[in-house]
Amino acid sequence: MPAAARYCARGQPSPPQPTTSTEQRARRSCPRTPSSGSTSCRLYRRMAAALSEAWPGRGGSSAGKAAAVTPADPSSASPPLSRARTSASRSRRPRSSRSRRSISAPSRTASSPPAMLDKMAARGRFRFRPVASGRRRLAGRAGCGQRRDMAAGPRKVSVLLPTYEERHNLPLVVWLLVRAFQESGYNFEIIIIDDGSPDGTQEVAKQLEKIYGSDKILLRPREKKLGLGTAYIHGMKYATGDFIVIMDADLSHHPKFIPEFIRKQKEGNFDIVSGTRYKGNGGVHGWDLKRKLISRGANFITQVLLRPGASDLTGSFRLYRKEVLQKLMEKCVSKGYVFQIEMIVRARQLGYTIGEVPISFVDRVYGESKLGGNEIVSFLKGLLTLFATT
Amino acid sequence: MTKLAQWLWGLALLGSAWAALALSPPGLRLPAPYRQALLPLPVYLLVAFGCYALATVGYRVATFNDCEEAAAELREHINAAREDLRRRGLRF
Repeated sequence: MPAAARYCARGQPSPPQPTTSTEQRARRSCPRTPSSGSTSCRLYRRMAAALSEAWPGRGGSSAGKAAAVTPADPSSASPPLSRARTSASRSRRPRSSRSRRSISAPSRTASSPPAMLDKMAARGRFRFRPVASGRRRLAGRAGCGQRRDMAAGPRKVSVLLPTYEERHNLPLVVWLLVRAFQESGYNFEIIIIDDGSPDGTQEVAKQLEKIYGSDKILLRPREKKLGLGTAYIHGMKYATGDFIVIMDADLSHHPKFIPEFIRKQKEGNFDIVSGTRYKGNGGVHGWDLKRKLISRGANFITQVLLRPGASDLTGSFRLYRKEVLQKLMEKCVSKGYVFQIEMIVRARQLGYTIGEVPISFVDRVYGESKLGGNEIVSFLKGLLTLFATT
Repeated sequence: MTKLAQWLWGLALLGSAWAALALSPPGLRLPAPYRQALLPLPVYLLVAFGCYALATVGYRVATFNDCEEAAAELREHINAAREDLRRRGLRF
């Protein structure tokens, strides 16, 4: 070792002895409680615990150390193994201190990933920083949280349903949502934001709350029609999920796609997953030629001018991470169709990743509400404003 | 940089290159055939872009998926939902 050689050359017998004893150093570098140690140490300890949860067989061999450090260690499959190992090492070093044995015991285990991480957590020494998997876009997000998202999926999904005069469709949408979530097994809540509908939507919503429970159906009505953007902001205040799905309550969006959104999000760790009618096997039912032409033409103009990197910009069937939606709502100022476009464009600006899932859009109201010249003009005005300001 | 600013920069660059080559002073002119081709180039490009736009939108409208089976499935789901909700006590 170069240090020893240097000392010998100078004539000194050996490097100076450390002032703290081995046991003291071991106690400092070998934390005992879950909250002790440096940030990276705690991170690796948590990863090790999570991995040993995922691979109980392999993680069991190092359970001796992990059990001492992490209180919630479910890999109780092999406590005899760990006891045998520690007793074996005790027999090999009869007079070693407990701390020294607990450092050396994991070094005899197999170098499978959980065991390796346990070793690193035990020693408290980290030669490299955790590598960000995927793209770490948001400043201040813990790498552990990101990895947990990728491995386990959302803890809870909140669905925001702004409604206005949806008395007939609301129970059907809620039934389909409940079925989609129960079949896929995710924890969910549905927040119904009714803008003072005169046709009795609120009574139907109250009945649904009685049927499904007020922990699953949250009623957060408002007095009058105040617009979609403010409805989202209002609903987000009460959302407790870590993912938020926004959709239309008129059955044009089918809730069966929500598990596909979640799967796509897990696949690529996307910040936003958007349903697209224009790519893959996505499509629309109930539109005539004129409507399709207007839709494709508007989309083409938007792609040329704004180059947003997403194929369907005016679609409003999307899954957002909660903090991403909060950030975007602060920044977006437009109304109507352009509002949805602005969300995607601003998301691109802020560096969020967007995934796409083909959806089918069944328009049952197109016959009643035509796309008038007024809407087209306001769309173009909004588009040009976005072109000039983003 | 906003999209408008990007477009203006791009147009300024290409425009100045074209002006330098096509409307150049007598001293450093390109041979006549090149100049004759270069002069109407912006108009040609505009027309070409117009054709591309029409073709793309036309192709996309023609291949727009018509989800018949999605509509049929939705009708079935609506009936099932109505039945189930009636059983659970919802008064429509």
